[in-house]
Amino acid sequence: MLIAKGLKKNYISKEKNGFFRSSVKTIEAVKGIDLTIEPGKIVGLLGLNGAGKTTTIKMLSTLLEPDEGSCSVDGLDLVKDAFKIKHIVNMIAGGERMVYWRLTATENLEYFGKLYNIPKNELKNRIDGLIEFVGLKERANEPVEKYSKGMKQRLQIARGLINDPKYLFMDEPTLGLDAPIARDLRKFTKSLAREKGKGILLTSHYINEIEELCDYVYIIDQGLKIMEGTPKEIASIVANCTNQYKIKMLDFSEKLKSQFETFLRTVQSDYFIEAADGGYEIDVTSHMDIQGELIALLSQHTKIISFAAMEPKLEDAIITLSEVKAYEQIHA
Amino acid sequence: MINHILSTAKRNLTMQTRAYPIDFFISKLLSCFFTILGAFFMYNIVFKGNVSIHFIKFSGTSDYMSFAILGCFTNLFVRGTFLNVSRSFITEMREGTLDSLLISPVNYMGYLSGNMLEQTMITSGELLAAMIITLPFGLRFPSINVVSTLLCISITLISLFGMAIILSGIMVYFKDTYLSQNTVFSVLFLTTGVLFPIQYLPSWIQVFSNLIPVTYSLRILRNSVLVGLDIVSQARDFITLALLSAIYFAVGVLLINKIMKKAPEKQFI
Ligand SMILES: Nc1ncnc2c1ncn2[C@@H]1O[C@H](COP(=O)(O)OP(=O)(O)O)[C@@H](O)[C@H]1O
Ligand SMILES: [Mg+2]
Repeated sequence: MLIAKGLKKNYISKEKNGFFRSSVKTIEAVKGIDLTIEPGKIVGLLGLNGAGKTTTIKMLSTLLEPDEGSCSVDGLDLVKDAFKIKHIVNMIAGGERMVYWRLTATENLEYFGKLYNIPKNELKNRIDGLIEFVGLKERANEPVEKYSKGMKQRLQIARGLINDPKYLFMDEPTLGLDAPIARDLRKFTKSLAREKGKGILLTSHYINEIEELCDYVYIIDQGLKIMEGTPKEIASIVANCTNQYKIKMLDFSEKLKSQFETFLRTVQSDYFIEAADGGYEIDVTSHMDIQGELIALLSQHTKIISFAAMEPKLEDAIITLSEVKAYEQIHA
Repeated sequence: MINHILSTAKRNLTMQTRAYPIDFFISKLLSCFFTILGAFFMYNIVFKGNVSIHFIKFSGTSDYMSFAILGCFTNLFVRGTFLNVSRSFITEMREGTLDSLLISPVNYMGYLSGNMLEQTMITSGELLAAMIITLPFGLRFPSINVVSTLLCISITLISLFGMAIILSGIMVYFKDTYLSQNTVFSVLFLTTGVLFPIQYLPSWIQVFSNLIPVTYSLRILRNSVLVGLDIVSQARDFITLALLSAIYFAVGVLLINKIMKKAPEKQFI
């Protein structure tokens, strides 16, 4: 079990103002985050760009030392026992880096394996297994620079598994991958948790990915947790925060307009209307699910040509959630 | 540790031989060749083959060409080991592999030693080729003292490694390769006596020269190869070189552990 409590991290960066002068700026990237990862479970860390996801992951993987807070990994202390923890954790990041482009897949894995002091025979078996697992068998002896994006990414996954970690941190692993490869990776991630019993922390800013994979989800914004729960709970909250409807209809009479606006005011929602080939198109944004009411109201007055409920957007949900959080803090 | 040294050296050799090894090798040899050629013209055309009394007094030899050639050989080692090894961590940073390296239980000293081992091997190969190229210019060592030459080379490698560790920390800290590399290399070239005895330099620069191990390495090497002095008669230089090496090495080890711990914060993704 991995238990993190009150993790904080500041970055100190120098800013140049002028040729010789520079000032020091402190960026509070993570302001106190608690989380728990159980073996065999996939935990999601959801947040917008700059929320502090990567910083959190880097602390958990011993790359960054937390400024405050504590974390125990199977009873070991993240800072004091960092060297031991390195043997049981690993990280996979999105993108094509983190492997040597001038080495082949096999050479990369051999090198990293030796850094973990894995015995020779065991390492060889493990490399064969991993290369097969990520589907690079045919090209395993070609330099990585000749690989496609997806292949580089798959090699990175093999690298992240070379020490057979008990806890695996995946930082936006599907970033920039084609849809079918991203789908494979999701399937694969699932099997790592379900079949191999690894505890996985997955960051993403795609709500769907998190919903599909995770057993439990934390949403963070500006370095703070703004909510946690099962993906079902999160999804319904996100959906409730942002409902968008696109409706096409034949007519928009004055009578309908006044009734429509009255209704939207009661549910604190906005709309936008536009004339479109022989009819009208309306966009409605709401914090509540008003699909039924909308259809009932509109169909009394006109013919609905099409009705679409748009997918909820995480961005909108997080903005709403952090507004609510700020409101609660002020009035607490 | 040994594991990390050997696998890092092997990894580097693989990478080196894969990416334009010939071009790389030839460019290094050419720069050595042209430096010696320059010295040759200076000596034969400007000085008409006569070195001054001062030169003989300062260097203990009248064979300027052999003096310059040994300087260039040493410089080849300075560049190969000191400069290339010092660049290893920042290269990982630039290429985006530092995180994968530091997330593993890598031993920093093992990693750096592996780089040093590989560079020493490559540079030794270059040295052999350089020896053949420079034969026509006349490197003569009839009275070489082999034992003291070998001891000099060994301690010199340790001192270059110590300097490399320090510079590698400085590069990661300031996230700079260009300025530190080129400045340091030019300064070493001018102040340590690669092409002329340091006594020709203003005395305040000589104070600085005397803090750099390479200055002693060059002097001991020439005295051992060209004059044939033994270890005992160069004890003072040997002891100073060993002391400086130990200091540079110790400072390097302390520095690199501190700096690498903070290195992941320095890279912005
Ligand atoms: N090396 C760094 N130096 C200074 N600031 C950084 C550094 N890395 C990240 N930050 C800042 O810290 C905040 C959190 O970044 P990050 O953890 O990368 O967020 P996320 O992964 O959620 O996008 C951002 O404001 C980012 O600009
Ligand atoms: Mg990130």
